[in-house]
Amino acid sequence: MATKDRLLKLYAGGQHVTMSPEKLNDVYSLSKQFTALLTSSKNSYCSEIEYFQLMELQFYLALQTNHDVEAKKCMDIMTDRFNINESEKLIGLRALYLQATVGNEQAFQLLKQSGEIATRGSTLENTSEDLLHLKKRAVLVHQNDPPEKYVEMLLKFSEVTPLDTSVWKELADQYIKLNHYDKAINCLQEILLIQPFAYNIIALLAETELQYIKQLESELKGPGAYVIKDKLREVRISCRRHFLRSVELCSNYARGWSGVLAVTSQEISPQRDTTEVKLHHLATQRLKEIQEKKLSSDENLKYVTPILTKYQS
Amino acid sequence: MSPDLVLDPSLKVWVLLPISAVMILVGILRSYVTNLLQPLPKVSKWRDVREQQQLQKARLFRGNSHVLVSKKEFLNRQAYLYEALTSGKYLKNAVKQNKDQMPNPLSDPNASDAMFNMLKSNAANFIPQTVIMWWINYFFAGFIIMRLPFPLTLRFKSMLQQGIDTPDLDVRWVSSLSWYFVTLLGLQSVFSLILSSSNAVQVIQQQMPAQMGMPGQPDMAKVFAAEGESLQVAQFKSSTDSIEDRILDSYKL
Repeated sequence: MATKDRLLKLYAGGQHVTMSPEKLNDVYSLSKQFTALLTSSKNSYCSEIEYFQLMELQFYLALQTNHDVEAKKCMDIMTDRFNINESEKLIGLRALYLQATVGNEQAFQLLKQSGEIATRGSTLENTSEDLLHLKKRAVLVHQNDPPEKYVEMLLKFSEVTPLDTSVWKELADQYIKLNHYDKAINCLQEILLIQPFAYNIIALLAETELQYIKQLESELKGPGAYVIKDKLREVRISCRRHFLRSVELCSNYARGWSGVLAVTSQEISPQRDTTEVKLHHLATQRLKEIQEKKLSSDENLKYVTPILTKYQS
Repeated sequence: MSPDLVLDPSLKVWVLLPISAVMILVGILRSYVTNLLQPLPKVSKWRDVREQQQLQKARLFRGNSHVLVSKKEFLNRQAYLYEALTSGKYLKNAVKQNKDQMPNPLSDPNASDAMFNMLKSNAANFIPQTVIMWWINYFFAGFIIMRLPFPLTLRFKSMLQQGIDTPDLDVRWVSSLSWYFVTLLGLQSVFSLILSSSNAVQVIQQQMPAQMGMPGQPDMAKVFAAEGESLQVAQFKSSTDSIEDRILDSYKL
């Protein structure tokens, strides 16, 4: 019972996307054993819906850990039960499989064809525009295209489904890649308006603002320095407050405290007032405590020491 | 007291068992028929999705605007959302035919679809029941088919002896029609044993009346305009105001 619940929780939460390779491997082998057990003896222990949810999870895990054959097996089990030509979700999964194993072009072709087939079918009387799930996948297939085109497609999609946070995150990532930090900040704020207590996104937003500060500082010597100076002051405040908000929501958040330490250091804000000095002191203290008591994950703790040595005054 | 009636043993073979077997088989058949009659899940139209999500976005903005730091950001977004809501560019049907008239629920294809589905599931429920009841009444009217091994009070007479008019007969004798009713109501657990659990759930579900969709949806243009108005009067208060003091206070510094 416990294994099933754990895996279903993982399926609902999707933590497997950001797991470390060792942990992912563990989960994969657990899920593999469990689904093999379920497939060999169908019983009332697990309802049909749960069974196929676990199958889908196993499919993702297999793709992530490079087990193509296992992924194909899960795919086939799902295809046996559902109609591949009419199930949007299944077509999406199939495209994901092709994207991971063969290439983007083939995946896009499949999506295009399936969209046409589904439109022609008698049960789905609509244009392929309506197949939002498919459309999203079609957009994501274009990841390797020129970024401007990809961003344009993402923007169009985000207009139709403005509540899809994954699209906003993807957009923010693209903007950061293109050095458009102000636009990335906007996208991250969009996510926060939907999920106001996502402290990791708040910290990410603050980090982006930190990048933006550096970008603005490099432009200070150019024309319009007065406007930029004004903007810089605003972004500095907003950056500090966002880092503080993230550690207010999660008091052991090493990333947030590192940000507080950095943003209140001499290097980033040369003219510090007493509050900033106090905050700097507090951040140092908290980070040391987190490090000593191991309050954060090992990956995060790895970064704490270099940050402490860099920004400690 | 010895039993005053002697039942022909062939009653058991030719009446009791056939009724029970038919009830079980029909029940299984019915659950599969309802499965087949279930409407296919529909893909929602992208214009519908956009309309709903844009409206929801405006609502969320009102509730969560505290995440923004400066008032300037808030005012920018407020002005943009107000413009988007009132210009009607995200409305499903951009042109409204008649603003004052409520749409007729019967002419709306989506509403009639829901009604037809309800009709179908109900038909799958009552048609087999009518047929079996007719069959029992035609062939086995007035049959006494079994005797319960335990005594019962008189109150059970109407339940167990339907279709026979003998006021003095002991309550323990069960008539064919009553046996039909008992099996009709009592076979649920047998079905859940035979069918897989998910199918059994559907058998229970289809006995409840299907939920009918709300007829006549509100005019979305008006909903958008109302949302725009409440957006305009929304006040801004950032959750990050004086956060420095809050943090320092909480760590006693």
